[in-house]
Amino acid sequence: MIGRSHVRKRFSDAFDGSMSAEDRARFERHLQRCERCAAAYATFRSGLAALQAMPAERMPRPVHIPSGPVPLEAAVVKRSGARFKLPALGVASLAGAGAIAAVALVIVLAARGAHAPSTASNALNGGASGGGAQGAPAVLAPAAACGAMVPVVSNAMPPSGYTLTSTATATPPGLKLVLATQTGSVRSGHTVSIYAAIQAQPGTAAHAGCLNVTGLSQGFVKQAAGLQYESGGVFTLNIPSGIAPGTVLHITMTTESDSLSANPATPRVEIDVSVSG
Amino acid sequence: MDDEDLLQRARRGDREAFAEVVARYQDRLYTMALRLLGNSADAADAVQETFIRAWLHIHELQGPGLRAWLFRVTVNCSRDLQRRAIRRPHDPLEDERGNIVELPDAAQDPERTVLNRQRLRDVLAVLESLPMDLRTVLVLREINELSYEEIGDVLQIPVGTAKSRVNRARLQFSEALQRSGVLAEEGTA
Repeated sequence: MIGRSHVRKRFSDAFDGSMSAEDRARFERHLQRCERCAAAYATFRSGLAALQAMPAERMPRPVHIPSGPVPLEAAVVKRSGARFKLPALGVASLAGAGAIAAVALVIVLAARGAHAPSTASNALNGGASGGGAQGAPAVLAPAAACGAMVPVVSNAMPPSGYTLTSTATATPPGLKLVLATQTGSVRSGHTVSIYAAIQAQPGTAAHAGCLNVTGLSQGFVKQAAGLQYESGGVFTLNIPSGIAPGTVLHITMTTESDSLSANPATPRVEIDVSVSG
Repeated sequence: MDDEDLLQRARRGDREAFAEVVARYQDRLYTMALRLLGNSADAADAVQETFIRAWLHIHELQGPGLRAWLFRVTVNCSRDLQRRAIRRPHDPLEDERGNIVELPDAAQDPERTVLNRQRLRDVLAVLESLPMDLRTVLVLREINELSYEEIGDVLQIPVGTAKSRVNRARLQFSEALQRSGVLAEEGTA
């Protein structure tokens, strides 16, 4: 004799055909004797038939693949769900230290001489917020080329929801660049949040970072001043209406250890965000 | 050419090989995301983001695990999109431009087509009423036809958990569909 609740637990096995012959015979005998279970199983099968009959769909628009060369192996970090994993390369010492310290981030807008927005400059005036950091190095004053500096972030981990992450170790040892977004595609007229930070071990000389955002269209570059500082290394980038679908926005962060002048050898992290229309 | 061959070529910079990976999986991922989210634009965004991540992680991907990885990332992207405060208003049978999506049997008589469309709406509404975790396993199993082992891989849960969750989802779905009257209408049609 099989109980009703037990039969319900076996509905999937019966439906999938994964029962042994003996169990199947017992299951069938029970349904023959029990109208409620027979009706419930009929409902179960009909419901799944309705679901399976739903049409397959086609992707309604082309998938855009980021432009540029294949990403470098060492520059990308694995992430699983909302949990952030430290990269396997070069920064293991940071993971256990519990001493992620100062972050200095400077925003510089896209090439062509654009300047950082006043909102970012205002944020700098709030000063560093240690927030549990130990031995946080002093924040460097930004060089003119990098515009404004933002407050120190004590824990350079992207907030929950930032799933597209890129990191790289920097020189000297003990520095790591972290760049993350919540999405790889954004619609024109919407915003995309960018998390950018530099992790530094205690005692590491202060460094500044530059966050660059460039796009393929003139229209986007003109609107790059829509980049606004929110908190803790999070920036909102306003994507104006009218940006052509398929436009790829290159978000790049670099650090200059000794000066803020452009240095091709400087480690960089990059994320591409495509405009989806 | 299998997935690993394509990935190897893509790692060497062959964008066409990666485009072939996209072509191979995009519709399946989109169908899943659409059934999870009920919104074409969001579903397409989830698929777009999945392939961007695949490109960024091209060196870590392995051919045998690619399918599960892609489904996993699309599920995660869909969940992220669902969690966001503002959802786009939608009709599950309309595309991004508001055009009514044609059903496969649109060639039959108009009355029947209307009935089928309404029925599809009802089924989708019941599906969307399920909690996300149950909806996810149901879509993976019944629509994408993944095995329990694959569902376990995608969701990173034990196979036994996948099985019990699928059974729970199936029971809730079919009972909700029964309550909605869709199955009764089907019986009288």
